[in-house]
Amino acid sequence: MAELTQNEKRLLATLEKEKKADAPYLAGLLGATPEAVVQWAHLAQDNGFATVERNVAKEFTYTDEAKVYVQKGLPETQLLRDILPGTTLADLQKHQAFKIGFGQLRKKGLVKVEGTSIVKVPGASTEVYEHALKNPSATDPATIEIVRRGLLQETETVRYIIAITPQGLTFAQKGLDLRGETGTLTREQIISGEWKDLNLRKYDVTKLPKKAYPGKVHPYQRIIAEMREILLEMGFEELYGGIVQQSFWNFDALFQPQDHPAREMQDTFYLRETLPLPEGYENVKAMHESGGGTSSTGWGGTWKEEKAEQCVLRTHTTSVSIQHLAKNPVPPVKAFCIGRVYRRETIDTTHLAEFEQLEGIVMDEGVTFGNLLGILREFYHRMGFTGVRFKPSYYPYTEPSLDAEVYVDGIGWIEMGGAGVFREEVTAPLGINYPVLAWGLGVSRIAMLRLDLKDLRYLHRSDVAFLRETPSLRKTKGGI
Amino acid sequence: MAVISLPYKYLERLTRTDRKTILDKVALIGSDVERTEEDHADVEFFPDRPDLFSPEGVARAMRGFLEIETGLPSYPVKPSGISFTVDPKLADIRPVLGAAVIRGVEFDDESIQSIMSLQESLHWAVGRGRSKVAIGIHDLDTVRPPFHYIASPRERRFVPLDYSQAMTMDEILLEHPKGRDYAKIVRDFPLFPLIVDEEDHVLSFPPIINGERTRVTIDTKNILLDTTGTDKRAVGVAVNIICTAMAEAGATIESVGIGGVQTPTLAPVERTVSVSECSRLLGVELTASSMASLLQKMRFGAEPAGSDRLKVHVPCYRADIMHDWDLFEDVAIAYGYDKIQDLPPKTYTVGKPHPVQVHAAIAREVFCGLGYLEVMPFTLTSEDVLYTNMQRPENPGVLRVMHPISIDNTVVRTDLLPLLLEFLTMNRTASSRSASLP
Repeated sequence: MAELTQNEKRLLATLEKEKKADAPYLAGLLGATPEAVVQWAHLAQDNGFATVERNVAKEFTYTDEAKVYVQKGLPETQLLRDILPGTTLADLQKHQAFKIGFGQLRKKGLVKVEGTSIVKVPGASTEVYEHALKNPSATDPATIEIVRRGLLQETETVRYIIAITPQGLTFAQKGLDLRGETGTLTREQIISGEWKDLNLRKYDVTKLPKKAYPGKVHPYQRIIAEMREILLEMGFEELYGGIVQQSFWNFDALFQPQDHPAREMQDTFYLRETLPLPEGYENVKAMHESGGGTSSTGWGGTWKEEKAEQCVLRTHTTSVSIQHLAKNPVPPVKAFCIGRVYRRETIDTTHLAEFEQLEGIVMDEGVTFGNLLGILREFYHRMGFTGVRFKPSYYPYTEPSLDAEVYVDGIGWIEMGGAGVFREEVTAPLGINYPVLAWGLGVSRIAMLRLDLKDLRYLHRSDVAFLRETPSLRKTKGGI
Repeated sequence: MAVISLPYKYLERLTRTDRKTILDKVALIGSDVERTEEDHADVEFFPDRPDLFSPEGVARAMRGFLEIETGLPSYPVKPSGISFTVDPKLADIRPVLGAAVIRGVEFDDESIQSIMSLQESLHWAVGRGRSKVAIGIHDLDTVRPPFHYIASPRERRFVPLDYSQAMTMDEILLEHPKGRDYAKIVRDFPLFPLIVDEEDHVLSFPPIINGERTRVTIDTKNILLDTTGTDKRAVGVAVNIICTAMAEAGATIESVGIGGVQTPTLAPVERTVSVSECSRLLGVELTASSMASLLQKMRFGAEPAGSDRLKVHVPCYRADIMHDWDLFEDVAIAYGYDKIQDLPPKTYTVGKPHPVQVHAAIAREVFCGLGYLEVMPFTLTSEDVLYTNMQRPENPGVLRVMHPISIDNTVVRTDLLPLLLEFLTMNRTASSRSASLP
């Protein structure tokens, strides 16, 4: 049985004597407001000790206009009285009650127009309305209409009748502890032992407190952080680089031909800024034009310096990785980068012009394509995906290339990222003499699945409720 | 990406096996099966393999991969006796011409559809939207050799494909749908490229439109292929891919003389590669003979040349083989990605966070401790958000993107506060404190 509050007990003690009374009366006895008494009574009602009866009484008050009609009759009554055989519309128009009265008579269908004459229909009477005006009743349709005409005003008065139930009576008769309750114990009460005699207020541990919202990391940031930690655990060094990159590092150093469709204005955000080409760029030029002394044929044609100088908003973080490799050609290099990249895409629910990309590279003596598959399997396993498989793919700067697919319960196999070994056309001109394993994935793709988003824009244009309510700890099921 | 429609019956006939066997394995040579319909499947192939942009090409590759027919396909070519002259005035306009005669064609609805869509896919993948390569296919029996590739005055009139009256080439650029689509490639030249026959009938106005006269129909028996462009290698690739696809469908290929040179030869390119280099790259133990049979499965000619050397014949349609490693990828595909042992590298390394991210993480922790919510706004924004709404002067160093997608994404953010205020505007009804980290 639920614990009664002190006030409920006082109410029950009073009701034990009174049995049934209205709220204002009980309020007088208990020295409280009627509203408080009703609230306690509701609590007692929830425990089955009392009943609360809500009586609504409607009262009608008359407007000044209505007071006149009580004396003289409603305008339609007055008019009806004066319609005699042969009365014309012109006659009636002179009547002081015409304006309101005639409309009412027509609406009620009590008169009809025959030529120029106005004729009463047989049995025409306004008696029901006159009666309603003088004796209004909340359930009477005629009264309702008069209220609607604004002649009467309806007011409600609510009266609460509170009565004790047989269970309540039995409970009260067993004796109620009416001592005051103690909500807070003091140090003195504990030391003196006084607490043993106090009536301590009971505490309901099952009741939920008001929600508190702490400061929180963005749910998307949490996913990024998880990937970052996995890569640090796997022995990768974190890279960081600017979003503005020279075309040379974003495209040319990666053996992307200068007429490649991805380099067109429709796909890449170009900036007016240019930067001078780095030392040794001639090797890259030679590679594009003729294969630079490797087993490659190169792309042929003429490689143009000015195309490579122009800056872009980076289209992939590979522009950062490749510069790191060019500066650090001594193996081993194991590095990763999670950063924002830009594509000139029309923004919709599944495409953004900017999004996070994760990229990892491994450069070492004797690393193989098989090692790349091993790294990927390890990474995706740690992300919670148990099923991982690989299939051939194509990326302009890797050979061999692959796509990794992961198995997601309820969805099936989904593509999660691309990978490959950097082409010799990429590594040789920069003086990188060992194989480079590289892999990347779109972070927002995982976020969309995990956070069950219908619209990717929501990651960046979030609302506060989403940020507050998204659980910080997910229950993972197959990585999602 | 190119999505190729593969009609089952045609594909089964060419591959010599059933559709299920083909569709189960086609992803393993590098493709995505987009959808399977009652009578055909739509399969997406990668842009580096234009030789797979037709049912004929897919069947050729799958016969190898399924070991129905392995090794180098051979395409005999004999001279047709037909020749082209090339006008030197084209040197700065559209200098490169490739051509071939394809005889004994037996078209049905499927094969004519297949050759048309191959042409379109090549325009896209190899031709860069016809600017680098444009292909014309003609009914050879409607015209008289020799042919002439000339730089013509723009007032020259002929009846373009799908039209019944003659138009000038300038009118075609303005009025014909293809003219409007591709006008920008030739618009600025004083003279336009044109292919005519001995009797001055127009075959083609490359890269825009063919003449109506040489329209290919289901009754066409002999084809003249013209391929023009700005890049010799790309033009050659397009010719080779179309000719070998038609040969797969049963036609015979004949060469034409262009400036005294007989073309195409459809001859393979020879490459000698190292077996141990391939083993080291893939992490797979290979011998010269095992590697040779894997390459044969991918339709290369391959024979051991010493213990560590392999002589490889690359078929003329494999434009993607630029480097030895391109062959090694085919070895890996033939071996099966799922059979390669996937072990992480052995070298011991230690993870190391970047200082910028370490500092960002500390700032994030402190702000969260103060009760702030983190937000992650877009970095592309507008002058309105950054400056006008803030009543702040414009930052002179602001980076402007040259071709923004919309007026809301014109610049890279220079400040964070305006983006927080924008966030607040979006969340006016909720009461909260929020903070952003870069």
